[in-house]
Amino acid sequence: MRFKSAALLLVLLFALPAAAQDMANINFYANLGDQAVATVGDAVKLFALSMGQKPRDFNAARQFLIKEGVFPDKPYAESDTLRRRTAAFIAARYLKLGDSIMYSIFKNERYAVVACGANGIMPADKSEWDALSGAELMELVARVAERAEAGK
Amino acid sequence: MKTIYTMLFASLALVFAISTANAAVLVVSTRGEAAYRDGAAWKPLAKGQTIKEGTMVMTGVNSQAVLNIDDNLLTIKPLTTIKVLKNSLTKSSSDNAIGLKNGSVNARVKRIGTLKTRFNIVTPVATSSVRGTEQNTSHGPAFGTRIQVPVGLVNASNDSGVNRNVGGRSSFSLRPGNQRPDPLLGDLRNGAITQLNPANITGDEQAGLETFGDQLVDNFDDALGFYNKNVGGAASVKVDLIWPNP
Repeated sequence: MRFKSAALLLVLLFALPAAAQDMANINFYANLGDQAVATVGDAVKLFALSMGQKPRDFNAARQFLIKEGVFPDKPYAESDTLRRRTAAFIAARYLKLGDSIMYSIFKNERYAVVACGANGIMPADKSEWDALSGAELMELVARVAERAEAGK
Repeated sequence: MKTIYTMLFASLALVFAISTANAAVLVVSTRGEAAYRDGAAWKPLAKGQTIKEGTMVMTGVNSQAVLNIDDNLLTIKPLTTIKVLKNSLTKSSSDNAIGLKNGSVNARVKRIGTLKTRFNIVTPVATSSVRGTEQNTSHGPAFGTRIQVPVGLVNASNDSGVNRNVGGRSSFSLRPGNQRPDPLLGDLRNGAITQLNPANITGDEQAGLETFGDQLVDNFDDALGFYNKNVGGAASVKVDLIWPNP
Protein backbone atom coordinates (compact mmCIF):
# COMPACT_ATOMS: atom_id res chain seq x y z
CA MET A 1 0.00 0.00 0.00
CA ARG A 2 2.82 2.39 0.97
CA PHE A 3 4.71 1.50 -2.19
CA LYS A 4 1.63 2.24 -4.34
CA SER A 5 1.07 5.59 -2.60
CA ALA A 6 4.72 6.56 -3.08
CA ALA A 7 4.55 5.61 -6.77
CA LEU A 8 1.35 7.65 -7.22
CA LEU A 9 2.99 10.64 -5.50
CA LEU A 10 6.02 10.37 -7.79
CA VAL A 11 3.80 10.26 -10.89
CA LEU A 12 1.96 13.36 -9.66
CA LEU A 13 5.21 15.16 -8.90
CA PHE A 14 6.44 14.55 -12.44
CA ALA A 15 3.10 15.35 -14.09
CA LEU A 16 2.43 18.65 -12.29
CA PRO A 17 5.35 20.67 -13.75
CA ALA A 18 4.41 19.51 -17.27
CA ALA A 19 0.81 20.67 -16.80
CA ALA A 20 2.02 23.93 -15.26
CA GLN A 21 4.29 24.49 -18.27
CA ASP A 22 1.36 24.05 -20.67
CA MET A 23 -0.78 26.49 -18.71
CA ALA A 24 2.14 28.95 -18.59
CA ASN A 25 2.19 28.87 -22.38
CA ILE A 26 -1.60 29.27 -22.57
CA ASN A 27 -1.38 32.30 -20.28
CA PHE A 28 1.39 33.64 -22.52
CA TYR A 29 -0.87 33.28 -25.61
CA ALA A 30 -3.83 34.84 -23.79
CA ASN A 31 -1.81 37.86 -22.68
CA LEU A 32 -0.11 38.20 -26.05
CA GLY A 33 -3.47 38.28 -27.86
CA ASP A 34 -4.41 41.39 -25.87
CA GLN A 35 -1.07 43.22 -26.23
CA ALA A 36 -1.21 46.37 -28.36
CA VAL A 37 2.49 46.06 -29.16
CA ALA A 38 4.46 42.82 -29.25
CA THR A 39 8.15 42.62 -28.36
CA VAL A 40 11.08 40.85 -30.00
CA GLY A 41 11.03 38.55 -26.95
CA ASP A 42 7.42 37.55 -27.72
CA ALA A 43 8.28 36.75 -31.34
CA VAL A 44 11.37 34.76 -30.43
CA LYS A 45 9.45 32.72 -27.87
CA LEU A 46 6.44 32.09 -30.13
CA PHE A 47 8.53 31.04 -33.13
CA ALA A 48 10.72 28.80 -30.94
CA LEU A 49 7.59 27.15 -29.49
CA SER A 50 6.15 26.64 -32.96
CA MET A 51 9.41 24.93 -33.95
CA GLY A 52 8.91 22.43 -31.13
CA GLN A 53 11.29 24.03 -28.62
CA LYS A 54 10.61 24.77 -24.97
CA PRO A 55 13.10 27.61 -24.45
CA ARG A 56 14.06 28.36 -20.86
CA ASP A 57 14.61 32.07 -21.55
CA PHE A 58 15.00 34.72 -24.28
CA ASN A 59 18.69 34.13 -24.91
CA ALA A 60 18.23 30.37 -25.28
CA ALA A 61 15.38 30.87 -27.76
CA ARG A 62 17.31 33.55 -29.66
CA GLN A 63 20.41 31.39 -29.92
CA PHE A 64 18.29 28.50 -31.18
CA LEU A 65 16.74 30.67 -33.90
CA ILE A 66 20.13 32.12 -34.92
CA LYS A 67 21.55 28.58 -35.11
CA GLU A 68 18.62 27.58 -37.31
CA GLY A 69 19.39 30.59 -39.52
CA VAL A 70 16.00 32.22 -39.03
CA PHE A 71 16.87 35.17 -36.78
CA PRO A 72 19.03 38.18 -37.69
CA ASP A 73 22.32 38.04 -35.84
CA LYS A 74 21.89 41.55 -34.42
CA PRO A 75 21.88 42.73 -30.81
CA TYR A 76 18.12 42.77 -30.32
CA ALA A 77 16.93 43.07 -26.73
CA GLU A 78 13.98 41.07 -25.40
CA SER A 79 11.96 44.23 -24.74
CA ASP A 80 12.55 45.82 -28.17
CA THR A 81 9.38 46.64 -30.08
CA LEU A 82 8.67 44.02 -32.73
CA ARG A 83 8.76 45.59 -36.19
CA ARG A 84 7.20 44.00 -39.25
CA ARG A 85 10.66 43.68 -40.85
CA THR A 86 12.03 41.51 -38.03
CA ALA A 87 8.96 39.25 -37.93
CA ALA A 88 9.06 39.00 -41.74
CA PHE A 89 12.72 38.00 -41.66
CA ILE A 90 12.01 35.10 -39.28
CA ALA A 91 8.99 34.01 -41.34
CA ALA A 92 10.80 34.25 -44.69
CA ARG A 93 13.86 32.35 -43.49
CA TYR A 94 11.77 29.69 -41.77
CA LEU A 95 9.69 29.11 -44.90
CA LYS A 96 12.75 29.44 -47.14
CA LEU A 97 10.95 31.96 -49.34
CA GLY A 98 13.01 32.72 -52.40
CA ASP A 99 10.80 33.90 -55.21
CA SER A 100 11.66 37.56 -54.74
CA ILE A 101 14.80 38.56 -56.63
CA MET A 102 15.71 41.33 -54.21
CA TYR A 103 15.21 39.05 -51.21
CA SER A 104 17.17 36.22 -52.78
CA ILE A 105 20.07 38.63 -53.39
CA PHE A 106 20.13 40.52 -50.14
CA LYS A 107 18.28 38.26 -47.68
CA ASN A 108 17.76 41.19 -45.36
CA GLU A 109 14.79 42.30 -43.28
CA ARG A 110 13.61 44.92 -45.77
CA TYR A 111 13.14 42.51 -48.64
CA ALA A 112 11.79 39.81 -46.35
CA VAL A 113 8.72 42.07 -45.94
CA VAL A 114 8.30 42.12 -49.73
CA ALA A 115 8.76 38.34 -49.95
CA CYS A 116 6.18 37.75 -47.21
CA GLY A 117 3.74 40.15 -48.92
CA ALA A 118 4.18 38.41 -52.27
CA ASN A 119 3.52 35.03 -50.68
CA GLY A 120 0.41 36.09 -48.75
CA ILE A 121 2.07 35.64 -45.38
CA MET A 122 1.69 39.33 -44.53
CA PRO A 123 -0.37 42.13 -46.07
CA ALA A 124 1.60 43.51 -49.02
CA ASP A 125 0.74 47.16 -48.43
CA LYS A 126 2.20 47.75 -44.96
CA SER A 127 5.38 49.46 -43.82
CA GLU A 128 8.40 47.47 -42.73
CA TRP A 129 8.66 49.76 -39.69
CA ASP A 130 5.13 49.09 -38.38
CA ALA A 131 5.01 47.82 -34.82
CA LEU A 132 3.14 44.51 -34.70
CA SER A 133 0.47 43.84 -32.10
CA GLY A 134 0.37 40.58 -30.18
CA ALA A 135 -2.65 39.37 -32.18
CA GLU A 136 -0.87 40.19 -35.46
CA LEU A 137 2.14 38.17 -34.34
CA MET A 138 -0.09 35.21 -33.46
CA GLU A 139 -1.83 35.44 -36.84
CA LEU A 140 1.54 35.51 -38.59
CA VAL A 141 2.90 32.50 -36.70
CA ALA A 142 -0.31 30.54 -37.37
CA ARG A 143 -0.04 31.31 -41.10
CA VAL A 144 3.63 30.38 -41.19
CA ALA A 145 2.97 27.09 -39.38
CA GLU A 146 0.08 26.28 -41.72
CA ARG A 147 2.23 27.03 -44.79
CA ALA A 148 5.12 24.97 -43.38
CA GLU A 149 2.75 22.07 -42.70
CA ALA A 150 1.28 22.27 -46.21
CA GLY A 151 4.77 22.27 -47.72
CA LYS A 152 5.84 19.03 -46.01
CA MET B 1 -10.58 3.71 4.39
CA LYS B 2 -13.17 1.92 2.24
CA THR B 3 -15.86 4.39 3.38
CA ILE B 4 -13.69 7.35 2.37
CA TYR B 5 -13.14 5.90 -1.12
CA THR B 6 -16.89 5.22 -1.50
CA MET B 7 -17.76 8.79 -0.46
CA LEU B 8 -15.11 10.22 -2.78
CA PHE B 9 -16.41 8.15 -5.72
CA ALA B 10 -20.03 9.16 -4.98
CA SER B 11 -19.07 12.87 -4.83
CA LEU B 12 -17.19 12.66 -8.12
CA ALA B 13 -20.13 10.86 -9.77
CA LEU B 14 -22.50 13.56 -8.50
CA VAL B 15 -20.29 16.37 -9.77
CA PHE B 16 -19.99 14.65 -13.16
CA ALA B 17 -23.75 14.08 -13.38
CA ILE B 18 -24.52 17.72 -12.58
CA SER B 19 -21.99 19.04 -15.10
CA THR B 20 -23.32 16.93 -17.98
CA ALA B 21 -27.06 17.31 -17.35
CA ASN B 22 -27.65 20.14 -19.84
CA ALA B 23 -24.41 20.35 -21.76
CA ALA B 24 -24.28 19.62 -25.47
CA VAL B 25 -20.71 20.66 -26.23
CA LEU B 26 -18.44 17.65 -25.90
CA VAL B 27 -14.68 17.68 -26.31
CA VAL B 28 -14.00 14.95 -28.88
CA SER B 29 -10.22 15.23 -28.94
CA THR B 30 -7.34 17.53 -28.10
CA ARG B 31 -3.76 17.75 -29.31
CA GLY B 32 -0.99 19.80 -27.75
CA GLU B 33 -2.01 22.77 -25.65
CA ALA B 34 -5.77 23.26 -25.41
CA ALA B 35 -7.44 25.08 -22.56
CA TYR B 36 -10.78 26.50 -21.46
CA ARG B 37 -11.42 29.50 -19.29
CA ASP B 38 -12.94 28.84 -15.93
CA GLY B 39 -13.51 32.16 -14.16
CA ALA B 40 -10.26 34.08 -14.43
CA ALA B 41 -8.07 31.01 -14.89
CA TRP B 42 -7.23 28.85 -17.90
CA LYS B 43 -7.49 25.11 -17.31
CA PRO B 44 -6.45 22.17 -19.52
CA LEU B 45 -9.15 20.90 -21.85
CA ALA B 46 -9.56 17.12 -21.81
CA LYS B 47 -11.12 14.60 -24.17
CA GLY B 48 -14.60 13.58 -23.01
CA GLN B 49 -15.13 16.80 -21.08
CA THR B 50 -18.27 18.87 -21.60
CA ILE B 51 -18.27 22.65 -21.68
CA LYS B 52 -21.07 25.12 -21.16
CA GLU B 53 -22.44 28.03 -23.13
CA GLY B 54 -20.27 31.10 -22.52
CA THR B 55 -17.02 29.14 -22.20
CA MET B 56 -13.87 30.35 -23.96
CA VAL B 57 -11.51 27.80 -25.52
CA MET B 58 -7.96 28.46 -26.65
CA THR B 59 -5.33 26.41 -28.47
CA GLY B 60 -1.57 26.89 -28.57
CA VAL B 61 1.02 26.40 -31.30
CA ASN B 62 0.84 23.07 -33.17
CA SER B 63 -2.31 22.28 -31.20
CA GLN B 64 -5.97 21.69 -31.92
CA ALA B 65 -9.24 20.72 -30.24
CA VAL B 66 -12.33 19.13 -31.75
CA LEU B 67 -15.73 19.87 -30.23
CA ASN B 68 -18.99 18.06 -30.89
CA ILE B 69 -21.74 20.67 -30.73
CA ASP B 70 -25.18 19.05 -31.06
CA ASP B 71 -23.69 16.45 -33.42
CA ASN B 72 -21.85 19.09 -35.48
CA LEU B 73 -18.06 19.07 -35.47
CA LEU B 74 -15.96 22.16 -34.81
CA THR B 75 -12.19 21.85 -35.21
CA ILE B 76 -10.29 24.62 -33.46
CA LYS B 77 -6.96 25.12 -35.22
CA PRO B 78 -3.64 26.32 -33.71
CA LEU B 79 -3.40 29.71 -31.94
CA THR B 80 -7.15 30.22 -31.92
CA THR B 81 -9.50 31.64 -29.32
CA ILE B 82 -13.25 30.96 -29.50
CA LYS B 83 -16.24 31.38 -27.25
CA VAL B 84 -19.39 29.26 -27.26
CA LEU B 85 -21.87 32.13 -27.54
CA LYS B 86 -25.01 30.02 -27.88
CA ASN B 87 -25.81 26.35 -27.50
CA SER B 88 -29.45 25.44 -27.50
CA LEU B 89 -31.17 22.26 -28.58
CA THR B 90 -34.92 21.57 -28.55
CA LYS B 91 -37.04 18.90 -30.23
CA SER B 92 -37.59 21.12 -33.23
CA SER B 93 -34.43 23.23 -33.47
CA SER B 94 -30.70 23.39 -32.89
CA ASP B 95 -29.31 26.89 -32.42
CA ASN B 96 -25.59 27.44 -32.01
CA ALA B 97 -23.25 30.40 -32.32
CA ILE B 98 -19.47 30.38 -31.99
CA GLY B 99 -17.53 33.61 -31.49
CA LEU B 100 -14.14 33.55 -33.23
CA LYS B 101 -11.86 36.12 -31.59
CA ASN B 102 -8.75 35.20 -33.55
CA GLY B 103 -7.37 32.18 -35.37
CA SER B 104 -9.23 29.69 -37.54
CA VAL B 105 -11.84 26.97 -37.26
CA ASN B 106 -13.37 24.30 -39.46
CA ALA B 107 -17.09 23.62 -38.99
CA ARG B 108 -18.96 20.59 -40.35
CA VAL B 109 -22.66 21.06 -39.85
CA LYS B 110 -25.12 18.25 -40.54
CA ARG B 111 -28.60 18.68 -41.88
CA ILE B 112 -30.67 16.47 -39.59
CA GLY B 113 -34.13 15.62 -40.94
CA THR B 114 -36.69 18.27 -40.10
CA LEU B 115 -34.64 19.75 -37.26
CA LYS B 116 -34.29 23.47 -37.82
CA THR B 117 -30.53 23.98 -37.60
CA ARG B 118 -28.75 27.27 -37.13
CA PHE B 119 -24.97 27.30 -36.72
CA ASN B 120 -23.36 30.73 -36.85
CA ILE B 121 -19.69 31.61 -36.68
CA VAL B 122 -19.33 35.18 -35.54
CA THR B 123 -16.14 37.22 -35.96
CA PRO B 124 -15.73 40.87 -34.92
CA VAL B 125 -16.63 41.98 -38.48
CA ALA B 126 -18.88 39.31 -40.04
CA THR B 127 -21.17 36.37 -39.36
CA SER B 128 -21.37 33.20 -41.41
CA SER B 129 -24.36 30.93 -41.28
CA VAL B 130 -23.72 27.26 -41.95
CA ARG B 131 -26.38 24.72 -42.98
CA GLY B 132 -25.52 21.22 -44.10
CA THR B 133 -22.05 22.36 -45.07
CA GLU B 134 -18.40 22.51 -44.22
CA GLN B 135 -16.58 25.81 -43.90
CA ASN B 136 -13.18 27.16 -42.90
CA THR B 137 -13.31 30.52 -41.18
CA SER B 138 -10.37 32.57 -40.00
CA HIS B 139 -10.05 35.96 -38.40
CA GLY B 140 -7.06 38.11 -37.51
CA PRO B 141 -6.04 41.76 -37.36
CA ALA B 142 -3.86 41.61 -40.49
CA PHE B 143 -6.12 39.81 -42.97
CA GLY B 144 -9.54 40.27 -41.36
CA THR B 145 -12.20 37.62 -41.84
CA ARG B 146 -11.86 34.90 -44.50
CA ILE B 147 -14.41 32.20 -45.26
CA GLN B 148 -13.88 29.26 -47.59
CA VAL B 149 -16.52 26.60 -48.19
CA PRO B 150 -15.25 23.21 -49.41
CA VAL B 151 -18.74 21.66 -49.25
CA GLY B 152 -22.14 23.37 -49.65
CA LEU B 153 -23.10 27.00 -49.44
CA VAL B 154 -22.61 29.54 -46.64
CA ASN B 155 -24.16 32.94 -46.14
CA ALA B 156 -21.78 35.67 -44.95
CA SER B 157 -23.16 38.96 -43.66
CA ASN B 158 -22.44 41.88 -41.38
CA ASP B 159 -24.02 45.02 -39.91
CA SER B 160 -22.82 47.16 -42.85
CA GLY B 161 -25.27 45.50 -45.21
CA VAL B 162 -22.89 42.94 -46.65
CA ASN B 163 -24.70 39.74 -47.61
CA ARG B 164 -22.96 37.14 -49.77
CA ASN B 165 -23.46 33.48 -50.52
CA VAL B 166 -20.11 31.70 -50.58
CA GLY B 167 -19.45 28.27 -52.04
CA GLY B 168 -17.46 26.32 -54.59
CA ARG B 169 -14.27 28.09 -55.62
CA SER B 170 -15.34 31.47 -54.28
CA SER B 171 -14.15 32.81 -50.94
CA PHE B 172 -15.23 35.66 -48.69
CA SER B 173 -12.54 38.07 -47.55
CA LEU B 174 -13.30 41.18 -45.53
CA ARG B 175 -10.09 43.03 -44.74
CA PRO B 176 -9.60 45.31 -41.72
CA GLY B 177 -10.87 48.83 -42.32
CA ASN B 178 -12.90 47.83 -45.38
CA GLN B 179 -16.68 48.10 -45.44
CA ARG B 180 -17.06 45.82 -48.43
CA PRO B 181 -15.49 42.41 -48.98
CA ASP B 182 -13.05 41.59 -51.79
CA PRO B 183 -14.62 40.09 -54.92
CA LEU B 184 -15.77 36.53 -54.19
CA LEU B 185 -13.66 35.18 -57.05
CA GLY B 186 -10.67 37.38 -56.14
CA ASP B 187 -8.45 34.46 -55.14
CA LEU B 188 -9.21 32.69 -58.40
CA ARG B 189 -8.53 35.83 -60.40
CA ASN B 190 -5.26 36.61 -58.61
CA GLY B 191 -4.08 33.06 -59.22
CA ALA B 192 -4.94 33.14 -62.91
CA ILE B 193 -3.84 36.59 -64.07
CA THR B 194 -0.19 37.59 -64.09
CA GLN B 195 0.56 41.15 -63.07
CA LEU B 196 2.52 42.95 -65.76
CA ASN B 197 4.57 46.11 -65.48
CA PRO B 198 5.75 48.45 -68.25
CA ALA B 199 8.57 47.06 -70.37
CA ASN B 200 7.56 43.49 -69.59
CA ILE B 201 9.47 43.36 -66.33
CA THR B 202 8.31 41.93 -63.04
CA GLY B 203 7.57 43.99 -59.94
CA ASP B 204 10.83 42.83 -58.40
CA GLU B 205 12.85 43.79 -61.44
CA GLN B 206 11.21 47.20 -61.56
CA ALA B 207 11.91 47.78 -57.85
CA GLY B 208 15.49 46.68 -58.34
CA LEU B 209 16.06 48.92 -61.31
CA GLU B 210 14.51 51.92 -59.58
CA THR B 211 16.76 51.37 -56.56
CA PHE B 212 20.01 50.25 -58.17
CA GLY B 213 19.47 50.80 -61.87
CA ASP B 214 22.41 53.14 -62.43
CA GLN B 215 24.73 50.70 -60.67
CA LEU B 216 23.46 47.64 -62.51
CA VAL B 217 23.41 49.06 -66.02
CA ASP B 218 26.44 51.11 -67.09
CA ASN B 219 26.27 54.03 -69.54
CA PHE B 220 22.51 54.49 -69.36
CA ASP B 221 21.06 57.48 -67.57
CA ASP B 222 17.63 55.90 -67.51
CA ALA B 223 17.83 52.22 -66.69
CA LEU B 224 14.15 51.55 -67.40
CA GLY B 225 14.53 53.38 -70.69
CA PHE B 226 17.11 50.78 -71.67
CA TYR B 227 14.47 48.10 -71.38
CA ASN B 228 11.85 50.21 -73.13
CA LYS B 229 14.17 50.73 -76.09
CA ASN B 230 14.47 46.99 -76.54
CA VAL B 231 10.77 46.16 -76.43
CA GLY B 232 9.64 47.41 -79.84
CA GLY B 233 10.84 46.32 -83.28
CA ALA B 234 9.93 44.18 -86.27
CA ALA B 235 9.97 40.41 -86.27
CA SER B 236 9.03 37.78 -88.81
CA VAL B 237 6.87 34.85 -87.88
CA LYS B 238 6.47 31.77 -90.04
CA VAL B 239 3.00 30.23 -89.81
CA ASP B 240 2.06 26.87 -91.33
CA LEU B 241 -1.68 26.49 -91.70
CA ILE B 242 -2.79 22.88 -91.86
CA TRP B 243 -6.40 22.38 -92.92
CA PRO B 244 -8.16 19.18 -91.92
CA ASN B 245 -8.94 16.76 -94.76
CA PRO B 246 -12.59 16.93 -95.87
